[in-house]
Amino acid sequence: MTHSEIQQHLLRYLDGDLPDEKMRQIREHLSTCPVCAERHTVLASLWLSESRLEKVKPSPFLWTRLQARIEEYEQTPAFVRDLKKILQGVLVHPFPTLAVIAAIVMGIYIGTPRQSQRHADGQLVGQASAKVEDLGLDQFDVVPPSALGRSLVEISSIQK
Amino acid sequence: MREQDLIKRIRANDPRAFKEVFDSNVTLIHNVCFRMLGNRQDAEDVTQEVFLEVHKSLKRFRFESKLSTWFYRIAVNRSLNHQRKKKLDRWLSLDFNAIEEGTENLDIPGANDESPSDLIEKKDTERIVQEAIGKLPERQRTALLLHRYEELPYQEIASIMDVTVASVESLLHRAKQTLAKELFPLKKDL
Repeated sequence: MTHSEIQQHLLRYLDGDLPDEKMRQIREHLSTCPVCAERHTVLASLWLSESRLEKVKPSPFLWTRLQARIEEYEQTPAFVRDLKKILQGVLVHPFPTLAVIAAIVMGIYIGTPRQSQRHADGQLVGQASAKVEDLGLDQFDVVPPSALGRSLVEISSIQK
Repeated sequence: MREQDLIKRIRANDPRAFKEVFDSNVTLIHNVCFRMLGNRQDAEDVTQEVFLEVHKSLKRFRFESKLSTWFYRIAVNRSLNHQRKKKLDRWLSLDFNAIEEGTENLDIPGANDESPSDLIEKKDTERIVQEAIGKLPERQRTALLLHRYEELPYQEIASIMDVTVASVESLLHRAKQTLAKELFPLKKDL
């Protein structure tokens, strides 16, 4: 094993978290290499002496505060709680939310006709209206449909 | 069996049952939150949130895992969310120089009977180790904290983190490799 490999495995060695063969190789290396041995001593002083087993005691008022929050929760209407949850989700995961908003804005932008398109559409409508007037088709707008129907019945009875 | 009785009593709206759940798990939850977040105030806030969540969902608990595993899972997820939200707040307020997570107000538990020099030495050691652990990627840090401070077996860590046992081994392996590299210069700089 090289110095770098030994140094990489030192914390696992200190925790006894390596296969027996590797543990033996590192032990032998440390007894002959002052550089790795120094690193081992420094890491051991940190890793093994840190207060890993001592527990932190919570505040004695935690239960009282929790009870107050539970009461508050139970008095809040369900829809307000849901709304709060959604807003919290947006804050914790802002990027998917921003992506959805960006997609909606892009959709609106692409779906909205631009000025030139609106102008072209206006011209087309104008041309169509002129053609309708030329052919007299606009007269149909002032003749009520019921009158048209009656005329058709009369024409067909004359033909018979 | 005791856990099942407690849940039954909670389902029957026995107000003392939830207090019993709180009393027997509060230290465990608070410690996980403290290790994940690095300061007492945040740990207490998140511990409250965890128990609020437990209160909301306990009636629906189906014993697919141990009650403590479920508590750990909620505590880990809530702590990670809290940390992400704090980072985002800092980012949004453009306060890039704020103190890093895991290093502010770090309190050393149970150090009353030691001499001042021992206390300083211990505080330095604690700070260095916590600073290095705080810089690890989220998943490596979570696996390491559950293994090192809660002394949980790989199987339970895997269940809490919703990954395989092999993934837990790999996360711990990489975390310790990174720490071995990071810790040495930090101690030498003292």
